[in-house]
Amino acid sequence: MSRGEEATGGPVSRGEAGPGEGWKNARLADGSHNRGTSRRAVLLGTAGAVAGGLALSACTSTSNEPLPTTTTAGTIPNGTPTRGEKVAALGASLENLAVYAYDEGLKAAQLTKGAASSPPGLPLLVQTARDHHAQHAARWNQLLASARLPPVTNPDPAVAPAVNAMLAGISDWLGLAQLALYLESTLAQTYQAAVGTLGPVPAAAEIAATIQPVEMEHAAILYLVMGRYPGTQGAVSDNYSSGEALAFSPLGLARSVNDYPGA
Amino acid sequence: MLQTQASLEALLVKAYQRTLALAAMQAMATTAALKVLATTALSHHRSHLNLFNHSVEALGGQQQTSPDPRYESLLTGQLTQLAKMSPENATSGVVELAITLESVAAETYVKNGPAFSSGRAREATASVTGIEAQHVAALRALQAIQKALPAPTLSFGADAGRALPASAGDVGFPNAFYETSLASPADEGAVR
Repeated sequence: MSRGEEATGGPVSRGEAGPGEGWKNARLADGSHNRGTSRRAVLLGTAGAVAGGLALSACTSTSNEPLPTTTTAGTIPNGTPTRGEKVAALGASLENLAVYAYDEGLKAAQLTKGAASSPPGLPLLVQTARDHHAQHAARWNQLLASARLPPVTNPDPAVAPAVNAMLAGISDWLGLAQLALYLESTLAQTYQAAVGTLGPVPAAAEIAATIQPVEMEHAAILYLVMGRYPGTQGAVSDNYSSGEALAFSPLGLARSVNDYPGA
Repeated sequence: MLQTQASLEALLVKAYQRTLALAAMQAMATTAALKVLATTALSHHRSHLNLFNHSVEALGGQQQTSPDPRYESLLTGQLTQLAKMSPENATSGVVELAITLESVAAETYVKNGPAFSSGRAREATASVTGIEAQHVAALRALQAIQKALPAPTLSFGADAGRALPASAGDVGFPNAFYETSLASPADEGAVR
């Protein structure tokens, strides 16, 4: 799926085939599956990004001003955010998108006829990765709060269309794994680029450096359960889903802070 | 810091070369996945060593081709022990040793990456960090499979994907944020 591909997914409609036990247990063990970003928020976030981009507020991050009490969908306040703050907003929005996608993807995969044939390790993998992404979003928002910027609670509007299209196409556990791999690769490569381009030791670079390898770990085990060598492989043309194991992490899916409205 | 990173890569190259040469690794048909992993990681670490040394030279420094001195003696001792073990124990020991050394490298790069003033060094380090983390994750998964199956004969493929136990789906990523407690000091592997 290419960057910038148009959204094709409407609400996902599924049959009533029962989920496999592994899926059900993973969901029950968590008890937090309703915390994430809703599908409606993702769709609104995409639309809101356009509106927000046209009507940017004039907030700045000086300490004398009150924190904004609302979050503009898919935007950070216009003013003079540092590059690190832009990375934080982008990171939070991508992590929000991952939480949403894992929640929706789990639901979709549970309802497929092939759910029972899922590799045994996949449900816990997905559930744990989803929880990691929620923690990553919180960490980015903590950084934004320290700069007196509002939290980013909406999903990345630029990547959401591609994710919604993949969600709409999930027909078995492999579809969920492929969606997860796309998200993990996008996140990891975005953070890798951030570490490379941010100046030495700003807080955002340090946070990105501690999250990037965790996303890479998620990807490694996804490859394994998909029956492939457990490491990043192939090329951007197929979202790094198959091919030779790479000695260096690529950057083909990295998102630019300039992709983020208001940044 | 780049010389230290090169020394860690030289250490990993030596570690994989020596462990792949162990009799247990040569003889056992049950180590196919481990052999693939070790061979691939060896190739990766050779490439990483070259990248770090080219980066050092580009910044006017001297290449570091010797293994990290702090861990080289540990490696030598471990190899001696592994050579005396049964094949099953030796292969488990190889995985444990590789997890330790790969973790040291990954955690060092997590710590160093944002600290470089050189953009070239930051980019080089960031491009390697995640690959080492994936080596660790894959090794941990292999370890979980070894524990779950008495004599795993798997190779990477559908069998390995299904061999990862349900309770071990998260074994490859124990923390939401990567640790740095094992990170080597900046000058540990400096050319002296």
